[in-house]
Amino acid sequence: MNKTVTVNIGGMVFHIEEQAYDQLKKYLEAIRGYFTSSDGRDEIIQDIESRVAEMFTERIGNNRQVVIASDVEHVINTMGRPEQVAGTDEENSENKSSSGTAGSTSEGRGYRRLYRDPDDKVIGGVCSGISHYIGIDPIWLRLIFAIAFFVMGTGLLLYILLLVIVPKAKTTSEKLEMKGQAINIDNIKKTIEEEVEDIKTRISGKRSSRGGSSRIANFFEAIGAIIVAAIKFFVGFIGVIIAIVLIALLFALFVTLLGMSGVIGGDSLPIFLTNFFLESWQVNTGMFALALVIGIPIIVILYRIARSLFKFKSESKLFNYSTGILFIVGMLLTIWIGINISSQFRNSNTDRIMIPIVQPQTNTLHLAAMDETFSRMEDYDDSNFSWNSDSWGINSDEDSVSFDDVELTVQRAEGNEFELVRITTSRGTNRKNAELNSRRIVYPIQQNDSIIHFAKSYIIPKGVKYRGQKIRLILKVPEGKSVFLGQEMEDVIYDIKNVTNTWDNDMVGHTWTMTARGLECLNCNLDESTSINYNYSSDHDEKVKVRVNGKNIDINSHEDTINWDNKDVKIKIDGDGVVIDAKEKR
Amino acid sequence: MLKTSNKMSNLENTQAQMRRGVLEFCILSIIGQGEVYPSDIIGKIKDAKVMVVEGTLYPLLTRLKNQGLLAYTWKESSSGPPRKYYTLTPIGEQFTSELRVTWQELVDAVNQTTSNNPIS
Repeated sequence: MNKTVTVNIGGMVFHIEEQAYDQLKKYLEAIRGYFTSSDGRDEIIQDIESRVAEMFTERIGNNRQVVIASDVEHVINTMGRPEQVAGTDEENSENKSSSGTAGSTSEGRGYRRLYRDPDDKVIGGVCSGISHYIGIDPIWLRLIFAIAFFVMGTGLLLYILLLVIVPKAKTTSEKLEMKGQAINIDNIKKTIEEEVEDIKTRISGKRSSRGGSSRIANFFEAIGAIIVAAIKFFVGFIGVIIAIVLIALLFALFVTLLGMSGVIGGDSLPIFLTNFFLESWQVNTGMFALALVIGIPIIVILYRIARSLFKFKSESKLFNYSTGILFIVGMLLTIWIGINISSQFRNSNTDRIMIPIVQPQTNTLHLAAMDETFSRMEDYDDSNFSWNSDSWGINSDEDSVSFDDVELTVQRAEGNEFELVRITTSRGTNRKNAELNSRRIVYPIQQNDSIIHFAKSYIIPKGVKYRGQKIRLILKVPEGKSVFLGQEMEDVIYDIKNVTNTWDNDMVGHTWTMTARGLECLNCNLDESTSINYNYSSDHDEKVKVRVNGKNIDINSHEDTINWDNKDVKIKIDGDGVVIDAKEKR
Repeated sequence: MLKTSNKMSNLENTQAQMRRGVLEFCILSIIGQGEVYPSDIIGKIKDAKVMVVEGTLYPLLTRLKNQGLLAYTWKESSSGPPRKYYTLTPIGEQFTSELRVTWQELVDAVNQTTSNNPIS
């Protein structure tokens, strides 16, 4: 007992067992898969279905009501396997590509291949070849190319490109492929070719003799054909443009990589990368990997475009495998290089060095940034820190690289003297390597009397790689003593803690004194909003305005020097600094 | 083992190609004798061994029709749904007569060559 389904095959109703139905359906789907809609797929299937209906009717006769599996099997055996049904067309195209011996007289568009026509050429037969391919008169193409020649020479470029890419039709079979014709048997190839030509001319002769109305029809047909051809050509043209762009990209990539790796000179890749970040083998391998990872996809896309445009011979396995493998190699190399580079940052090392400074005569130590010229001296001494030495600097830009990753902060000194601590950190493959990397960086500090000059940046000399080196400086100020942050020190200092929470940029240009509460600016005019609760101002002198509140003493003057002496408060401001003395009333 | 199977497939291939070339001509000739519908063609052609399986016919008919060599009309049948009856178009007639000439030449050529150079 089996379930049945009711189906309409070729306009007739059948009761068919479910299993048989599945089989039949699969079979028809398989046949369908062998054809394209341009082959007239639907019509073919319809015809086959009609025939199937006929066969079923014959087989079941009057005795039975239901189509069973054996009926379907019989149908399949009579009709042939799907590949046999499609066989004529399928094998044709295969045989043609291999030997060109088989096939039937056909104008099937799918069989056409783009070749250059050596029999009908002006230069290389490109135009006539394309005209065979899209089926328009070569004169139009020649015209288009001639016009395109004057549009920045694109026509010429395109022509040359096509001349190179498109193969010439050499053998008879290639010539027939070019024209979209195929012939049954070798011996009658030529004959049939002539016949077809003959028939064609006769058809056109007949048509034109038919009279007015068909002439108009012909005219519109021709217009339609031209439009279709134009659209097809346009689509192809876009493909060609994309191809040209990709070729240009590929070329650019090639040239860039050559330039970067120094093969053709120039220094396109930042020196920092080649000299101070990567080993030379890393650069070269990286370039190679990059070329593969970017270049291979471009080549593959180009190949695909070319193939779909010109219907090249079937897919090349060698090409697919080799590009695939090369791409994977490129990826692996890139990953490996990445891991390799990151491994050189694995360990870190910190060096803490106390830098001896000469204690200033006054209570104030002046800090200033070295200007550019100052820090660019001819020679430099590698590792020894030397006072009053002018021999710091950079040899030349090619031999060293400088980083302004310098952080100076101010802390309270435990003793009675100013202290300067330099902390260098670096990374490396291991601890020793990291230590080496940190030792070899150069950071000039120079003291002239009570002024210490700090370089804004530290220098990595040639031979040392950048491995995340960093310089931190801690200036320890004893209580009661002050530092003056000179101009441009904002490039050196970093997050100096102070009582008023003043920003680094605003700290510059003021004298900061280490008090019991921390670092305090005694001559600043900072943030008036906090100075409201008690406000004492005195217009002692018209030129000088003094305001004292719970936190600050605020002095404004129009003159360079302020000198205000009073019973309780004594203020003196001049080029040397600020002296403020506020006595409590006894 | 491999060689013989190769030889076999080569032989089959050549036979298939020969049949295919002739099949088109045969079908055009049958249709040329008068209006027919596909099953008629099958009936006439079956014994000739030109066509291995029936299924081959339908794609071929569609292709010839698309090429303008054939035309068809729907006709009522006594025993079922309407059928497609094929006829040759003027182009098809022309084409068939050209093929007939070629076929005759081919037959002559084959006879001549095979009788002059007997292959045992």
